[in-house]
Amino acid sequence: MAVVTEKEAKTGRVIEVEGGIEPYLMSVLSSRLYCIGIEMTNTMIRSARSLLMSICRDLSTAICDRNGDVISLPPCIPVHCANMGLTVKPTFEHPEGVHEGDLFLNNSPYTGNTHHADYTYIAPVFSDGELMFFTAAKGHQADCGNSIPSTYVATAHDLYEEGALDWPCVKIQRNFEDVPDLIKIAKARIRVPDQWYGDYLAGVGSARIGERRLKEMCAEYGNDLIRAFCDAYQEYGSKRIAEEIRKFPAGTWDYTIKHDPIPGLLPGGVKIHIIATVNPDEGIVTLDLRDNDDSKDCGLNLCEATALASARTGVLNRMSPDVPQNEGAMSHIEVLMRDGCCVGKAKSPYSSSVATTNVADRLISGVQCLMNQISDIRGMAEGGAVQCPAVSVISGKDWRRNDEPYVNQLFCGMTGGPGVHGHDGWVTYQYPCTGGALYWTGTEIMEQRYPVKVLEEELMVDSAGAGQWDSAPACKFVLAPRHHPLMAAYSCDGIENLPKGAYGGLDGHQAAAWKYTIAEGEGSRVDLPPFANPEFPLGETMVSESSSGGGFGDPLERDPELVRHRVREDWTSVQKARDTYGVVLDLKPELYAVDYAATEKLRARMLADRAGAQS
Amino acid sequence: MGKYVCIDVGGTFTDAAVLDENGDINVFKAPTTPHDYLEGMLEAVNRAADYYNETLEDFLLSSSLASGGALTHGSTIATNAVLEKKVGKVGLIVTKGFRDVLLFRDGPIKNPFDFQIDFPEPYIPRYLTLPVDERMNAEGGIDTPLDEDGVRGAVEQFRAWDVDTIAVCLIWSVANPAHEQRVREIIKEIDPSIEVILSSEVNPCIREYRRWVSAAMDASLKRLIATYCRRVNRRMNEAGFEGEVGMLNSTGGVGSADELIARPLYAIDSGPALAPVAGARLSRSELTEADAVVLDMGGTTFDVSCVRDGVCAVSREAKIGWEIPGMSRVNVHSIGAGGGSIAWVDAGDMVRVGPQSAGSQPGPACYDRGGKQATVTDANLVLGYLDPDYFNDGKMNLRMDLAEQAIKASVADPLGLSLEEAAFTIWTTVNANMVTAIKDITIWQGIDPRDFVMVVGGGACGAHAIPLAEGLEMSKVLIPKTAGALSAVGGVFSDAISEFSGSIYTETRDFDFAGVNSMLRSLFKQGDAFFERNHIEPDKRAVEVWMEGRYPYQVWEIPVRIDDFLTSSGELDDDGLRGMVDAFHAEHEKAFAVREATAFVECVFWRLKAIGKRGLEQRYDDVNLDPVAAPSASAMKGRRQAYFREAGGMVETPLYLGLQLQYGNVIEGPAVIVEPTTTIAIQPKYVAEVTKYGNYLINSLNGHGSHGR
Repeated sequence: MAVVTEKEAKTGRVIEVEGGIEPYLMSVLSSRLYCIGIEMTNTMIRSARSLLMSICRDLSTAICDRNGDVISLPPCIPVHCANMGLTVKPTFEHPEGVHEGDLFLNNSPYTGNTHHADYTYIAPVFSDGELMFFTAAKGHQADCGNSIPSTYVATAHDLYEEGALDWPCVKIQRNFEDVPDLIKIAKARIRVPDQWYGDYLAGVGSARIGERRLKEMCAEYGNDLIRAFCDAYQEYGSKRIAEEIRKFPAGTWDYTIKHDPIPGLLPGGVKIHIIATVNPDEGIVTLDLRDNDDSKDCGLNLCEATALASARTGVLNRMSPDVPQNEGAMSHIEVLMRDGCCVGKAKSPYSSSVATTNVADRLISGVQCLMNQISDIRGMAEGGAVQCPAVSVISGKDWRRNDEPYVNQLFCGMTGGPGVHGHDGWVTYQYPCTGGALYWTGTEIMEQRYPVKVLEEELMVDSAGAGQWDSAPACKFVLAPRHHPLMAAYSCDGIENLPKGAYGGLDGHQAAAWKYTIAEGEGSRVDLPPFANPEFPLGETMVSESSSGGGFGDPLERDPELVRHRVREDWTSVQKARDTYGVVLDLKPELYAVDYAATEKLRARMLADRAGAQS
Repeated sequence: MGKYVCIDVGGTFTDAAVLDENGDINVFKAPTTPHDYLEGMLEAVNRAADYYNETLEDFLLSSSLASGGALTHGSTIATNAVLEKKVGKVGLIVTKGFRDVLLFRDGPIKNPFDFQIDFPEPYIPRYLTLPVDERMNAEGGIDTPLDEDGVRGAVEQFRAWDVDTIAVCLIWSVANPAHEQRVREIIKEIDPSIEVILSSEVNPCIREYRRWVSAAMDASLKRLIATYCRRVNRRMNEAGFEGEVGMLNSTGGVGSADELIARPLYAIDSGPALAPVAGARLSRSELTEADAVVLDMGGTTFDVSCVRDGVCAVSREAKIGWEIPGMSRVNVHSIGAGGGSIAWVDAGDMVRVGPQSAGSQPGPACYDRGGKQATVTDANLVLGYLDPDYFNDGKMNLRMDLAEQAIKASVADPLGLSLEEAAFTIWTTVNANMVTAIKDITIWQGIDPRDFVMVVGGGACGAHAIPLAEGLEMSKVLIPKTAGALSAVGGVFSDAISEFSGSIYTETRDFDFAGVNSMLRSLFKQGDAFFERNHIEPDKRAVEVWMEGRYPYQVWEIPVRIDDFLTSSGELDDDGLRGMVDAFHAEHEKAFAVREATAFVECVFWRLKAIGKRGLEQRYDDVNLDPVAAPSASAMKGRRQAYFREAGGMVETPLYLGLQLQYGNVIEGPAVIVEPTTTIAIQPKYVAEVTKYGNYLINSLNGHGSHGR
């Protein structure tokens, strides 16, 4: 039953519980772990200071077993979590060893973390002197001391230009006490230090509450039984996912997807080539990311943790959502990476400042679409491209609060859900790497917190990637400063490479970044560069048009009633209903009505034209 | 004194609770009749009348105000109407540029790996959401004046579509409601028959989505609730009741039909909100305790609520379907775990229970109505916790053989377990699910429930109470004999309650005394008007005043009760402010284990709860006041095999008839007690003691902490 790990082999401990773990205990203990994870997450959300964590929930927690492998995840951000073991395991390499009362801070993409803005706090959990678990609490910081007031520096040539503090899995607490020197350094180098320290306390509180609860659990059931349970539960995850992968045929497939260029810095953009091999007998999917360029002189390079999480997420999106998210399950998705590759293991000093979004999002979309060739179960198109100005990191001064400085990322105004087999796209999907797990910041909360004004936040007509199932439409978001100028830093993908549809679905909407002056109106439009941190003086507005995902399936197969509904709701125009979906509507009734006879005729003609064009 | 009666309409059963002339409480159940709820309500009352040997007319007369009684009513009717969108047609007028607020919401959260799901449609269709040019700013200043012609155009469009209720939802109307008010004037000028709802009046909170969706919901229930309230009154009057039926609301209180018609949003969950009212009362009368966790497990759902310092815990986060209307209401957390929840084995050989339910049709396999899948009730039957011959007051027989077949086929055989072990695993798994649900509204909200009383309600919960208490390390467990109809019992005792709130943002380092005191004055005025309208005598009036605030940069507010810090004229002065800030620090520490004594507090909401005390008491029979430890011989119904892991598996277990037990009786586990509407399984090393009021108090003989359940 229990697999003896390398570490146990070293210490000579072999764990056996007579007769294995009884089924009722599996229920009780797995549910207990889940509860502890939620308590950790809630502790962090409710006591965090920055909007990013407290409102938008850009944070995740995990419980890892004594080997550092993820054993239980509460609802989380996929890009944070499908890799947490990588972030935790460097603790084993710490020169002082791992002791009770330690708390590690790892934010280094070169040491198993995601990117510099994600601070991961890791507490080892000891019971009777034995290492039993790790708890990990990760949160996206409002600021991480970068060279510009943004947690993403796409244009950084290297780590030094990026400017973030790098914490390569260091002890920030010993014996449950802060190491004051490190706190001093962080406070000195991070903008709005009080906000950072409040978020730090939230992260520490979260890791420590998990530690306390796990200790209680070990004391109650005994270390031997808990260890045996951990192994049995990993085994359970392994069984569940193998069952899913067994439904796929054996073979090898590949897919290519591209991230936009950064003008002047990365003229070719980033091409991502993915090769997948399925071995249904062993229940293994292997994703090979090695056939890609070397690291680039910009912040878009994927590190090991984000490449691993993204590739795994793309596969998990196509599995039963009920598969447990532990390493036992996730280890069935093998990811082959190459040192110094831009889609893989970035090495210092190449920058991974933007490693959790952009290329990571494209990689997820690529993997989930590659899977369309393998199976039509839960088919999906490419998700929307990301980081339009609506999700900028904004900064400036607030005249209402004695010119206090502010800096934080917004999460709103970006939609992006791809069309999937059987469902239109999820509207508040935001990023492929968050999968709709982030909250959406409302206008009033934003305007109360920051001296800005939202002029518009609405879906754009005819912006959905058309298909039998449409993607979510794109969103237009218009923001203006109040009093002082506003700086907004963004890295907008999806202007050149539109997210692709699948199974005959059409491509998504082109993203855009522009501005106009309020006095002259939208006629004074000036386009903005795709990767930039422009400053907007009073009187100017920033306009963001998000990308949208691809459609799934042939638009001519779309349910005419769904087309009618979307036209009535002003998501789709009458013209597009006719030209793209072949649906003719009668606009006289309040809810409009489908003219079925005309629709049938039009669709037949469009199909014939299509056949004619192909021959 | 007459009879106090409450009728609670639930999904499966309609319950009637009666506090009679002798001060005794009895409960009655009838099936719910969705085609006409009044049928089920009258049937439940009929059963009560039968019990008291009265005609329906006499019974209702004795429940009338003139006889010194009362009739109150709660239900899930508004909840169901909202969930099924069987509500009125509403037009929405919004600020230009913000037609999609009800679509985006707060970003409805789903499992990030699950895409087999449709994005929820906005509560009001977008074509019925018409924008007008106007804009207030965050400080309440007018950035863009109201385009009055635009408003007129929108109203004409709505009239063409036969919209008779309009909700007006403008950005920052909570900082300055002038534009919303002007829109109402314009609508009324055009057509006075149109109902107009303003977001700044329904739920004056910052966070446009929540304010707007509560206004939209309120508007959509307007005519439905008015019609329903009138029908309830008419039919009850026709049947013999004199006076007005008191309508229960989601604050856990009762008000007149007019109050509910004026703010129909508060009809949501008016039934379930009463369970904690009953729980609060029981904990106080039986144990003089003010903190309780109240459970209610029925056929399909498990509801949990919380009572702190005698007050039912409220939340602004309570969901209805995908919506979070954000008004403060009694927080009842509900999961799909009930007697009908289906047990299955997943591909990794783990036993799972729910979320699918066999409901009441076909119901558990043992109901013999065609259900083939094993359910929680089947497991309880196989474990010997239910008596097959005495289920639901003997009105139903349960088929043991069918329960055994179902469990064998769905769980025992696939896992190679014995029948009893399989049933035990199902039982344990649903217990774990329920423990998670209880943690959701206690530990995860920063509340440590270990010293709380666990009040166990619902017909199905008595078989699970002890492991739930162990899972939360709670040592005080109270199972009322009326557990089967806890909400209806709560309705009998409910006070007249209404809430009024306002939103003024101010920081304690630079406190806006004038603004806050003017807000408080307005809230007190609204409270007084409520008391007057409802004819509440001055000595029965009580008010609670609450401030909801947070530390700088935080965004989730916590409520602090502040009536002790107000001057005799109901205002905050310097001393009061200091008291309020100290109370906030203390409350924050209680909830999140940390306080930041040097930080100022951002005050956001001000809330006044007006309470008209009913002052009812249950009485006990003085004759039986001498406690008797040993149950009488007549209370012993027999012995049967029941499964208790700690006792080594299936053991011979005594079965007691609850109706024959009396004050002071002590029953040691393993044992099973059957009551007309509930069954209690007493685990080894636990005892049940019958209280003065005939309820059961469960005590552990060796402290808690024994695991494995």
